[in-house]
Amino acid sequence: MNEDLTIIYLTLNNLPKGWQEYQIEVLKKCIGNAPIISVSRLPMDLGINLIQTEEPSPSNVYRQMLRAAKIATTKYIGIAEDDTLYCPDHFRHRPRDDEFAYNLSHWSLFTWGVPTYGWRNRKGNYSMIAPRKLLIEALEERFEKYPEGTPPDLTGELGRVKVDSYLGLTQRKAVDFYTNNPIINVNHELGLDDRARRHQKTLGTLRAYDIPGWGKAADLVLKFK
Amino acid sequence: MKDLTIIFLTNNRLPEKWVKFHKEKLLEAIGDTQIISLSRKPLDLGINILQDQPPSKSNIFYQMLRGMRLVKTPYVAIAEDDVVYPKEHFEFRPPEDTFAYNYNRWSLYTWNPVYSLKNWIKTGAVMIAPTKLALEVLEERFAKYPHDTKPMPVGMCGELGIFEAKLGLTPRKVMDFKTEIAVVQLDHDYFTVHDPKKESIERRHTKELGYVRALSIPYWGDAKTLTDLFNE
Repeated sequence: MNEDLTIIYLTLNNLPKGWQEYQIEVLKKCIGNAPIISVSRLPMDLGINLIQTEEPSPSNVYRQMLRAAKIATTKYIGIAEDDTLYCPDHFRHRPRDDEFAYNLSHWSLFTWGVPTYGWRNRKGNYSMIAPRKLLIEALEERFEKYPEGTPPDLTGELGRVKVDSYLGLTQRKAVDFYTNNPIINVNHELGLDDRARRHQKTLGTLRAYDIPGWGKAADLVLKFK
Repeated sequence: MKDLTIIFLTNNRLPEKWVKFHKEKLLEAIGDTQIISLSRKPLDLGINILQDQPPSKSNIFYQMLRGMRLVKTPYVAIAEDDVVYPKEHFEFRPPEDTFAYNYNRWSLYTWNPVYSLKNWIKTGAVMIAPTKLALEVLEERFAKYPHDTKPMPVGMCGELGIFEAKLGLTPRKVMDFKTEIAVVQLDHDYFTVHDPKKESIERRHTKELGYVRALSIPYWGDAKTLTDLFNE
């Protein structure tokens, strides 16, 4: 299963050790035979490991994705971020050749405040599955136009209309998909999102304390230790 | 809320335990807001009017019109007997020319205690509108489609402001709003049967959940606590 997919795993190795172990354990159970290319700051025993030395930034996330995608040989790429918990059906999805696909069965879980899951109708890079060829094409275009990196406030997901339009790039298709089980994106103080670091990010429209597959937010948030 | 009237619609078919809970929660949410209730049996809830026509889609709007004609406040909100509302829902006020629909709404099937997001479709149960506008639209609808002689076609008989184009009536403005605490709309077995083939309980129970799902949500708590009130 998943021989046609490479997981590009992105981490700055700065999350709590217990969480990292838990998150990778969950990931490995989800991906089947998919090869992994991990991009990290510290050496890791996780698939083919690439070390990143560049200054962390939103643009650098995409630059590292391009590095890894060029090494991959499978038809599809699935992004896995170190603060996201995945489910097996997520990695079974395959988009069309001209589409970036984003899983909208995704809940956000904040590590601060009353432990609550929040859902909003927004595409996140952590939930993307894409044809490798399309991914490379889009990222090469991005970095040809912005060799020094894209401006932080304009940087965003591949195929999103606003992002491609602000950056003046070819508009490519981004589509939503839904899985029976959701994926969980943890919002914390150790990432690149300034609003999360300052606890100013707001939960989405729909909110929940307990969800199928993952249980209570109050229990899951304890894993982030 | 002195500027608002609630038009409450019920066929008095729901289980007693639920009816009691629903009334408590509604009164908690609306405080001293006036109510006009339209029911099939006499009800001790605000000004009570007995529904005088058999159940149908057109009848929902017809009864709404009867209630609307009695409203004295500048705004009106619909409350249905299988929907629970937070207080903040009734605090929203749209512009004078606009119908507003709350989109923070979970669906809950009484036979499967899981909240789910079915869609973002606007539904009449979460409407708040300027009374003058709502009355004007309803009068226009029933002037063209008199309820007793030429009722609105079923497929066109939908939410105020949204179906006006289909009905060949004056187009109206519609907006979304959202509350922090969600509205919960229950799907149950006490629906009004028009066509037993289309609306059998077995058929209803095959309805799929939406993809965004939850077992417990802020304010309303566990889904099962709500569905248990239906399953006597």
